[in-house]
Amino acid sequence: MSAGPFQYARKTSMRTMFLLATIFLYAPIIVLIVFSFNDSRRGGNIVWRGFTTDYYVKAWNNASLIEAFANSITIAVISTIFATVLGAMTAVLLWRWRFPAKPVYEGLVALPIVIPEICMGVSLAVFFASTGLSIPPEAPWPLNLGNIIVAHITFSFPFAAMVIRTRLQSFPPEMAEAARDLGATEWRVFWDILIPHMVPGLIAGALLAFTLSLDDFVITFFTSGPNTVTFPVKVYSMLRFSVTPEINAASTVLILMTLVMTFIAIRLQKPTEMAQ
Amino acid sequence: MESWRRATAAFAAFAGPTTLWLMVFFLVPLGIIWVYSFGENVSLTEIKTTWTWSNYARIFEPEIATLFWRTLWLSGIATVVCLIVGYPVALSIATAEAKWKPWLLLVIMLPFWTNLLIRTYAMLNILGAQGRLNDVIGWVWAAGDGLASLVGLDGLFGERFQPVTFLGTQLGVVIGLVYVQLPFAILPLYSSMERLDRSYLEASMDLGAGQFRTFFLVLVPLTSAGLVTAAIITFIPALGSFLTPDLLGRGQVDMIANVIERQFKKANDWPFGSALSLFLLYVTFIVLAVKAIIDMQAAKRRRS
Amino acid sequence: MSEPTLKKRALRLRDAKPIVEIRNVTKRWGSFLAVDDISLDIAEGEFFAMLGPSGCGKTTLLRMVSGFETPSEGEVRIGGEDMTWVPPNKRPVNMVFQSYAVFPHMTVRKNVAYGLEVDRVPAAEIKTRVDEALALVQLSQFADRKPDQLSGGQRQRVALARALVKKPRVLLLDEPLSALDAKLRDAMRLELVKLQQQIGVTFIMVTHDQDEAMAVADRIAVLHKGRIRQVASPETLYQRPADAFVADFIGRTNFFEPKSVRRAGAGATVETAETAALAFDRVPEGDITLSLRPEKVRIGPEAKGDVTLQARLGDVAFQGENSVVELHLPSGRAILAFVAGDAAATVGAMEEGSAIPVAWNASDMLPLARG
Repeated sequence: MSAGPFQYARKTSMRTMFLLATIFLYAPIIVLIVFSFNDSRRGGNIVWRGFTTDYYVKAWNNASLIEAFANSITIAVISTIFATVLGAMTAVLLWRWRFPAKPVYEGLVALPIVIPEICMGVSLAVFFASTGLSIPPEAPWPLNLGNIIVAHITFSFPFAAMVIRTRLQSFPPEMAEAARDLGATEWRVFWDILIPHMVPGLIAGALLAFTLSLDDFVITFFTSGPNTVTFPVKVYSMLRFSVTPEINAASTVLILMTLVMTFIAIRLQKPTEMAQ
Repeated sequence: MESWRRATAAFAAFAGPTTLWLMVFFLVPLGIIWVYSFGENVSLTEIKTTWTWSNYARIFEPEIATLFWRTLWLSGIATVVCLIVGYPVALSIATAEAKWKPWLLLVIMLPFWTNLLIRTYAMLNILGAQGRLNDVIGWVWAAGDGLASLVGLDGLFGERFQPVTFLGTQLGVVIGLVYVQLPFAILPLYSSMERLDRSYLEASMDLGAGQFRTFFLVLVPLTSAGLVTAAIITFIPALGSFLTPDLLGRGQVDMIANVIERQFKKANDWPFGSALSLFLLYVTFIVLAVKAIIDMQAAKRRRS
Repeated sequence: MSEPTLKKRALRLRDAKPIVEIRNVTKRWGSFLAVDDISLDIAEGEFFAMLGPSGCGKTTLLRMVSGFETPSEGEVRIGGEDMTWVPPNKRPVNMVFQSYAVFPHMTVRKNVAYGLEVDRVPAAEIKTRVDEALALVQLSQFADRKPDQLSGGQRQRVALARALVKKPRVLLLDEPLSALDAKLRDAMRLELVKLQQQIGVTFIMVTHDQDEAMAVADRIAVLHKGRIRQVASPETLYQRPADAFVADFIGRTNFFEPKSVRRAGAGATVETAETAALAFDRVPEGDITLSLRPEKVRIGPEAKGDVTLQARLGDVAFQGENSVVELHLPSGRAILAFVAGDAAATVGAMEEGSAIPVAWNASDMLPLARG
């Protein structure tokens, strides 16, 4: 193919721009990963003193870090289940029916997506404290994570709803009619035809909710107590104290988890793209 | 789509739980801080709602007003940088061969999926006085110095290399904000370019406009909707940033979220914190309203 | 089928009880009249087609039989029972959708079994009935495939088997052949006819393609703007169209605008630019036009008829055994003629614009109400 008028990608300047942006986005993360293997007691991110995996062992043996990690995963799993169900219900609601004040309702659902995280964190913290719905710190695990889970569901289900609604828009209405015609009740059409169609959207929505939950710092920061520390909150408090390669090691593990999840997401999305 | 009246039970089954959840855990909490924003601390733990405007009035006192302006300013600068950097990057993806596009997009979007705290921490290590960015600048300095010596210009670069201070400066915070928001900016730019009809560009070239003129007179106006979306999607989260100014600003470049956090964690002044939160919320709404107006006008222009 | 069997079939259908009765059905969308006071009986065992241009109301009418739409006014009876307000899943009819709507996440077997499963038919019976249905549409060896591994024609057979396995009293087909390519479409027409004769179930098909309707249906209802223009057998529609719209829609025709119409009782004397005054026994009310089918027009030196003219040759389009010839009459009107065999060869050899004698019989001109 000859270079058309705007084959920018073929032009060196454009490629350079892409390359520089990639370096800008990745260099910090790569440096972080490299220095997680640095054999240096403190100020671990400054001078390279040889290779070690000691800090992974140390992070593994850090009971409070592992606990925070377990909390994060637990919160993410539980909030993802609820967020996906609520998100799916919202998506079906908005896709299926005409009802009064629908634009207002759509705006309301989108609101948690656009409002600053800090506003949501603050309002939920105040809400739990002032309504007595705050779960006491001595509550058994994982009940004591309840407040954080509720907060995570609240900010993640609108995202899930958005993703699932997009998928619903590709639903051919005659599929539902065909099932109705063959004798299925509305309820069976929903379970036998609509839900299977929604599956890729449900998976995408769930992955998004899971990532958002694992990622969240600000809202968790406001709704967590001293005994309910999540991984990001724990890393944050370690950071304030001192910067050690241990934090790099823990971060590297989380980055790897993200990579694996992204990989799964891509593998799951592929067949549906082909089907469309 | 059918009317909700045709299946009230099913409609209620879907509308009930989601509406209830949004009410209880979203609207009520916002309502509570709205009420608190008109309250006063009467003791260490007790707040009385006196419907005073004093909390809002405090926002306009110089100390806080300055912070608000700084928040707008830093977010604005970060947004502009994101657009300038993001535009050619998005263009390079949009014009790449089809089979590469998803992978190039993935490369840009992958950092977005990485934990925000970890990314900010990674940036912290890069921007430190002995961080990697200063290493790079140091090498460039040394190389320049060496070259200068070769041509007999000793001392052109000064006595010795002074590390650039990023942490605790506005520059550091802006770099951090750009780092965090860049993928957000690229995505809408890319999709507006994808939708673009290539023939406009070809027509422009055909009519004798150079690449440079075609870029600014045809491509940029045609992707203006994408630019607006990218600007909004970058600007709004930047306004509410907490971690970036907190970690990279080292308490010297606070933005509004840091002040809000202090009211709840240290200063224990919930009424003022609530007023600040709501004010930030209103500013966000104003930005969204501006976007809505721009969109409406664009739609009107398209119709006429 | 031979002529006598066709006759017998027509007689049998005429005497059969109606399975679907549409009584004064009207459907309004806001102020738009999609279906305007239609009444129609469809006989048990009939292959019935609803034909019309898009937006004529045929699909809406079909959807009111299937239950996906409810009439604004009127009544739909199936098998003698009022079904106007019965939901689609409770009606003894099944539908083949234009897009087939084969469930993509189920195998062929699951697709066909679905309608029986929702009816809680015992598993053993489901198996035998599904096997029968698959054999009927020659899909037995594809039972375990997923729809995305099937061709368009095979997917349509799945849709057919899925509907027929429920033993419906009436099978509804919404533009069933429109998504297939031309060659497959012709083959499927024949198959549909054979299938319908084999199982004897009433078929109601909606189509915009007059060739398709003519090829498969016992009777055709021609719809236009929400109203029925004519319900008749394909032959009757062609030979005795009820009005100019039907004549134009079914096959091709030439219209002659009358210069003057002098009515006398039911008949009239009609004069056109090309013909002397022609007397007709029966002429419809209102505005009329005369229709002359292109195959009734004869051309060449030996052409005979009670109307003879000298025309000039226009375009000639060769279409297999027939050629379509455009003729410019002295009056300025252009008409079409179908010519076959030697005449086609003669015309083919002539230059455009050459003079050519044209003739037809006045009795082949039909006075029709203008549509």
